[in-house]
Amino acid sequence: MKISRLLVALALIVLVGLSVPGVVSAQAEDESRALYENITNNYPAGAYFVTINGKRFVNESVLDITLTTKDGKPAPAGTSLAVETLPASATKDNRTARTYELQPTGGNSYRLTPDFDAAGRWNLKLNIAGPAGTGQTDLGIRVYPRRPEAPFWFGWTQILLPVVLVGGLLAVYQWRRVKLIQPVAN
Amino acid sequence: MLTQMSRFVVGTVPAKRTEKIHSTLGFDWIYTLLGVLAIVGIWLDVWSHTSFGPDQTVFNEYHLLFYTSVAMQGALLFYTLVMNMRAGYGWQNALPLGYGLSFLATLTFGAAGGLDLIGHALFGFETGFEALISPSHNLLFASIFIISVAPVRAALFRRKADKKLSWRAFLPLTLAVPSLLSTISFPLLSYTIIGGSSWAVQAARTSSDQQGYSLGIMGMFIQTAATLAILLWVIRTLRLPLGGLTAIMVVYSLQTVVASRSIHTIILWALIGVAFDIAYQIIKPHASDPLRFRVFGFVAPLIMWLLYYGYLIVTNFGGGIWYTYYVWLGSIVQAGVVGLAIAYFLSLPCLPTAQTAERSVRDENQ
Repeated sequence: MKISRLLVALALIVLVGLSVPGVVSAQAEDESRALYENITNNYPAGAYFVTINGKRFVNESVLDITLTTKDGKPAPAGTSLAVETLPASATKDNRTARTYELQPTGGNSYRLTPDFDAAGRWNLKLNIAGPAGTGQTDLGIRVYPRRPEAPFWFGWTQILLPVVLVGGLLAVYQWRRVKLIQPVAN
Repeated sequence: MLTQMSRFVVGTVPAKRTEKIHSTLGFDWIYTLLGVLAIVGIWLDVWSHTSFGPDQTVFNEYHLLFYTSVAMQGALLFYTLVMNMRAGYGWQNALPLGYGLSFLATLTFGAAGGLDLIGHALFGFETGFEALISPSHNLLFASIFIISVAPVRAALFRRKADKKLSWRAFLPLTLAVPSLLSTISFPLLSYTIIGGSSWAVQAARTSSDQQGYSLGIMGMFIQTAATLAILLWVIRTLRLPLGGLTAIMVVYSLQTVVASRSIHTIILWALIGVAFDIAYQIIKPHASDPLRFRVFGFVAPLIMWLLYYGYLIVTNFGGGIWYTYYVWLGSIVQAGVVGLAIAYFLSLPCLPTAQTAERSVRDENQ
């Protein structure tokens, strides 16, 4: 009787433990959308404000830049944008800046596909010219390395460790007849 | 519990039991070890964020350890609750003293995890500072704090008045109290000085000295408050064995080092722990003597930050400190006042409750 109850309890605990990866993986969502983030919002650049959204991983970065005027309206047609990119470690690595001349992808939005080939801090210099005036600003953004693929055992160890710990200790306690609760002495 | 439960359950419907129950050290050990795994899991996740930026996949293997560990803590408490209710206890008394609120927190932790996934779908993954302040993460931090506090509360409920704890009884606390310190460190990580950002060193000097002073000294106050609030709360009622505070600070540093990967953090917290212990043995702080308790509250931050600055000066870590003598010495004294304030509030006499007030009126009338 005692053994069967213990087995039911352990089975319950193991089931809960094993359900964790299923619950997590069931949260299937659009991964590329989740990786797309707001990098800076309304950063001042002369007569304009700059908003940047995008992904910033080594060799797979995409930055969507939106320009608005000081009064919050979209930058007018005919506004040009040039972006210079340079890693912060440029002087050490003897690198020179790379310049991108961007055309609007629609309205006041511009898409930059930068050549971020190293993780770490990168400096962006934005030069804007258009009917609303000119603007120039320097921005620093951090580019991340892609996470290395974790080995199969790594995830399973993390799931099994707590399950085995509880199961093992409860089994030992059952064997040694260790009480886990006691009434409060009056 | 298992053997005891079997006796309760076998047979007909048991009589209603109204007494409260304590956890034993055996129960505390299982729960505490699971708690340590959860905390190590979160520090591992912090390390992955600082190394690789925001989460890059929905199925993040760095989340598995802490979610599974908390799920196991919830399962253990749920099992205890069900078995004790079957044994005749009402639901209010079916969990050991100190664990009731923590059971609810395991549920809110799961709910916060769900909210977090919704947040990711709507707004993308949190980056840098965002991960320490996002609403769903705040709920996760609050829940893990309440989950982790259970073994400490259980020990406080079990305490024998004014008796020094044996090492056997104290051992689970050497894991539970550092876990509690860790839970309070997660949301404050950006403001932390020891194990975080040492704004006082040349390598971290800001372009504005005023800004550098403010960041560093505010960080000292926040870390003092977070550390002392937990330690003073524990030593207010428990008499720790010799070396207890050293053990707590060393285990805490070993937890944080999962993310910081800095040997300096371990050395510094170990030195601080030893100095805390010496001060504890000399001052003997306890709630029964508010003066000694408050003196310790003032002295502990002085020790902590004197050792911090001393360590930076001796090792020339980060190019040494750029703060002037006036600033770093003055900031240590102000940190002492922060500790004193916490000790003061923790040692105020309790206000009478409606029940105790009614009883005293009744006694006076008799």
